[in-house]
Amino acid sequence: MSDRQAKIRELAGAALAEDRVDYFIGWKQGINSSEAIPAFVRNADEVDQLVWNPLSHHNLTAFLKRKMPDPPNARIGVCVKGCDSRTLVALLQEDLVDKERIYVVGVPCDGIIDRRRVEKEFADEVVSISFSGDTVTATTRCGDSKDFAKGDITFDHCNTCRYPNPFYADDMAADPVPEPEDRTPMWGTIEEFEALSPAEKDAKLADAFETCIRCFACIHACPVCVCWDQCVNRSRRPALVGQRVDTKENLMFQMVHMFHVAGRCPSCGACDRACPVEIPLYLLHRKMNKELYDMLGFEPGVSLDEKPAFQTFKLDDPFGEH
Amino acid sequence: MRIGVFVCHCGTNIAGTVDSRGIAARAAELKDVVHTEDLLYTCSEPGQSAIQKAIIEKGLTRVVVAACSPHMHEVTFRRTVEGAGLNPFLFEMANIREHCSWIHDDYGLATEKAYEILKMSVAKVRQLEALVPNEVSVNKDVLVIGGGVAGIQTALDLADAGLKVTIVERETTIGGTMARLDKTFPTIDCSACILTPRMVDAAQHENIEIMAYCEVDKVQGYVGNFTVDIRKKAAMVDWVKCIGCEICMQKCPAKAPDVFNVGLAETKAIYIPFPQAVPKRAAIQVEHCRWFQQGKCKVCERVCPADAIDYEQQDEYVQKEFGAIVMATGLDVFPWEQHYHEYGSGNIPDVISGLQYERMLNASGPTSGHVVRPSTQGIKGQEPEEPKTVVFIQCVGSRDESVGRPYCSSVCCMYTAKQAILTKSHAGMDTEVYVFYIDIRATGKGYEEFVKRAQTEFNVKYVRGRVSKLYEDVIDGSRKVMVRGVDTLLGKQVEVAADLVVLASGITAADGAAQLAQKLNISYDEYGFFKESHPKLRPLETNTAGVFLAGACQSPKDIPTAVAQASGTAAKVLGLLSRDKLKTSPQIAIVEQNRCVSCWKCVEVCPFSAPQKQEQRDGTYLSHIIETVCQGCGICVATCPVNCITLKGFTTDAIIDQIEELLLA
Ligand SMILES: Cc1cc2nc3c(=O)[nH]c(=O)nc-3n(C[C@H](O)[C@H](O)[C@H](O)COP(=O)(O)OP(=O)(O)OC[C@H]3O[C@@H](n4cnc5c(N)ncnc54)[C@H](O)[C@@H]3O)c2cc1C
Ligand code: SF4
Ligand code: SF4
Ligand code: SF4
Ligand code: SF4
Repeated sequence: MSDRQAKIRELAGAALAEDRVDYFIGWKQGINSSEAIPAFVRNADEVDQLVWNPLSHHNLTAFLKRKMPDPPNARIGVCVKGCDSRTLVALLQEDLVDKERIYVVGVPCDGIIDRRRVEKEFADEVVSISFSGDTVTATTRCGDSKDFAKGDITFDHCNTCRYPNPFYADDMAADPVPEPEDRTPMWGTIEEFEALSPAEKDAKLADAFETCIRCFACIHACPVCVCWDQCVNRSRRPALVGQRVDTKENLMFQMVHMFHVAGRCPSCGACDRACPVEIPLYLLHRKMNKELYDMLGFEPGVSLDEKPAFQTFKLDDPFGEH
Repeated sequence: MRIGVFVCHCGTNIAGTVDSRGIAARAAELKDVVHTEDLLYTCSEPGQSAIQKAIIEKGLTRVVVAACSPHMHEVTFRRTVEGAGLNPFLFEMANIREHCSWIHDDYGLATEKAYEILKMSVAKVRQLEALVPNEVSVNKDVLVIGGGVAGIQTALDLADAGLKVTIVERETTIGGTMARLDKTFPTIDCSACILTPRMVDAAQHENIEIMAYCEVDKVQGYVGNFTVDIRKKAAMVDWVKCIGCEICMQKCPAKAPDVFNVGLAETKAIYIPFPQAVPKRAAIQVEHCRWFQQGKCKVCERVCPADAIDYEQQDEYVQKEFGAIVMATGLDVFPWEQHYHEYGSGNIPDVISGLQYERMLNASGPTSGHVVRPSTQGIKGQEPEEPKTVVFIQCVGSRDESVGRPYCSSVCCMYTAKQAILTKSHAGMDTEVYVFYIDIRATGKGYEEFVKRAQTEFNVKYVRGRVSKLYEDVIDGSRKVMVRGVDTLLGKQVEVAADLVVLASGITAADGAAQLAQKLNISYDEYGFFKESHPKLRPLETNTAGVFLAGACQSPKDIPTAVAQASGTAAKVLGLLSRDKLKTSPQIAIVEQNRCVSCWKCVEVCPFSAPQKQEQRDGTYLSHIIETVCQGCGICVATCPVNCITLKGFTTDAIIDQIEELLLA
């Protein structure tokens, strides 16, 4: 793990020193060792702040979206995990990122841990998380400490991950980790949802979306959501989504997001992780992805020479058969 | 705002199921509606006058007509309101016929639904704005895709009228299917004798350019102003130098399958399909050439007196501008081998297709016009055997749901009768000829008489019934194709031991027709035949303005019909291009640039490449839709995630108002 961290620092340092990038985006320690946050490194002598550990969950490609780079023509270095590289491919498919202006460091990934699961084990605030082999040790402000097996607290989507190695990168921070041979997606909870009756589905969605506070963290974190302050959910042009925060309007809001990223969402889970009230947004997008996969055999962001499913069509596309 | 509402009875078409008078009266309650009226036939002269009268007398500023589909009469009524001085785009049509009266039978409920449709249209008409069409200049050159008899006819008619025509033909010669036929029904005149002079006329016409061995690669633009990329396929022969002497073909040592003769013979790797080819130019089939495959040979280069061989030749692309495009890509023969396993899947040598038989009958064909059993050909020291019993089977790949071809190919009954007659004249009157058929369709001029002649004068035995199986057997020492079928008139099984079986394989669209249709944005049916704009009223036009149809690419046709249609199409094109300027529809999409987030989805989805990435002063890019290119299809409008594209005359606000009128009011 620290090998990868060292390599990231080395590659970032070289890119900055040789003036191949204006800045480099990686992960660094947050307020304390219990979290990692995005880092923007502008000088080669600052690369030591970069870290790599199972807390490095942020999908940093969200900073590459059109209009986000500052200045717009900046040359940017960026770290991607396997899943993040799918986003990058999705953005490249749509010409939303300029290939010439990015320098990509790929990081083979062994899975990211769900910090929320750790937090829930304590009454007190977690202030430190350390790793030793497959053991994760969390310690709170009052000194409570507990060991976890890493596999028990990794994200669900990491447990079913089929692309742990970035497949788009200029340089790699390590040799590839073993990959599953069978890349058929596993849908798990989606299939449980599909088995429900319409009334049960309604109830489940209502229950899940009731608590949204319209903070818009989900769509800001989403790397393929592109509308910014013109988002119909905020600009209200046209007035499709009401200002009123209630279950129906919340659901409408998320449906709009789902349709805007349909065929483009590379299942990174950033929306889900960003939501402060723990709405399982990922389920909605994964459901759409499953529909697409079942109907067209299409997976967003896995091949550079494909177009997003809804921006193209093939003669033999099946319609209405599903 | 002063809205007038006119509700049509359409005789009893609407009024039989919907209370037209009642809903007209109720519409008076709607906001801004100042005049309502019900009319027996709104599209008739009295109906249209009533609208105009009301506009003038009541000072109407918007009009809603509740009647049939806008496909039918939107244009009519736009003209009507314009005639009374109103902007034609301040008009809205409510479809209460196709969407209501024709599909329901409960009078009360249908009336209620019709009223809701009407209310929605009133909600929409309030949001409409006056629109003014643009004018664009027109390019008067015409592209004809496909150089069969239909394409040639259209080209000649247009060229005679003074227009410049380019024929793009994907083979090395024009002529199409007809060039491969022997004689033509019902007159039994020689196909080549009537076609080749026309081919030469086309080649020599000062207004026609033939681009053979070329394919359409890309089509951009719109009616009056198409930009077409054409790929000139590498023939490995410089056609400017080639004189068509055929010496290369004679000397070339490499054999290749002869597509022109439908595999009945072999040709050479360097070939000219037939002696009367136009243009008469050689081309190398690279996959069969020794030089390309084995790096040895170059015989053609050595023997060519014109120094025309060029092994380095590459595909070339040219771009040309046209005002109109005529599709004339014709037909292909149904690939029966892939579908009819009960007929031997093409593995029984003495079972051939109708088109192969045409080649066999032809004096310049592979057997010099002798009818022979293919199984006996090419055996050393033995003359090919002439068949004594010939069986024709009709509807192979036509009217057969089990192979996905429910339609009638329309020419097979007739060409089978023709071939049956020719069999007798080539192989002798004593030849036994059977025709298995389902029905005989002989609807053209002189056609029924022709079939009768085959039956009476030529004693061709017509057996009504399908053949269930063909298989080979040896009977009295000689090899036969056993034809097992049923005679449905006698209700008996029949079995014929045949020497030769000819399948009247049906007609399908040209290979690649669907892909071509996509390049031109025209519709096609599940078989690849191009769709006309309206089967009765606009049979020569497609739904894309400026793109027309000629010949068998639209549906199976015989030569007289294909040629008649081709001339009709020429008249349509002339009508279009007789104007110097064309009005473009103002119902197009427009980007509100200050809200565009440059996501390029509009650029990606537009079938006409109307949205462009337009550079702004600060070096960033925003979407901009080129007015004259946009066809108003609305795809980008639905796609733009921030909703910053508006389709004029079809705004999002108007649609929301319609929905609200339905759900909330
Ligand atoms: C076995 C048989 C016998 C027949 N006998 C008779 C008869 O006796 N009497 C009669 O009236 N009719 C007969 N017909 C029907 C007749 O062949 C057609 O009516 C006629 O050929 C239609 O002409 P066309 O120009 O529409 O198509 P075609 O003759 O098929 O010509 C189409 C041309 O377009 C070209 N093309 C196709 N795709 C492309 C492309 N993508 N780009 C560029 N070029 C392209 C083709 O190479 C071809 O040259 C017979 C048909 C068959 C199959
Ligand atoms: S919708 Fe969620 S999972 Fe999909 S790309 Fe956006 S943030 Fe990632
Ligand atoms: S992050 Fe969660 S709370 Fe915030 S807007 Fe999205 S769904 Fe609602
Ligand atoms: S409406 Fe939009 S998608 Fe349709 S032609 Fe116009 S620009 Fe293209
Ligand atoms: S789809 Fe809309 S936002 Fe995106 S580029 Fe086109 S006009 Fe702009």
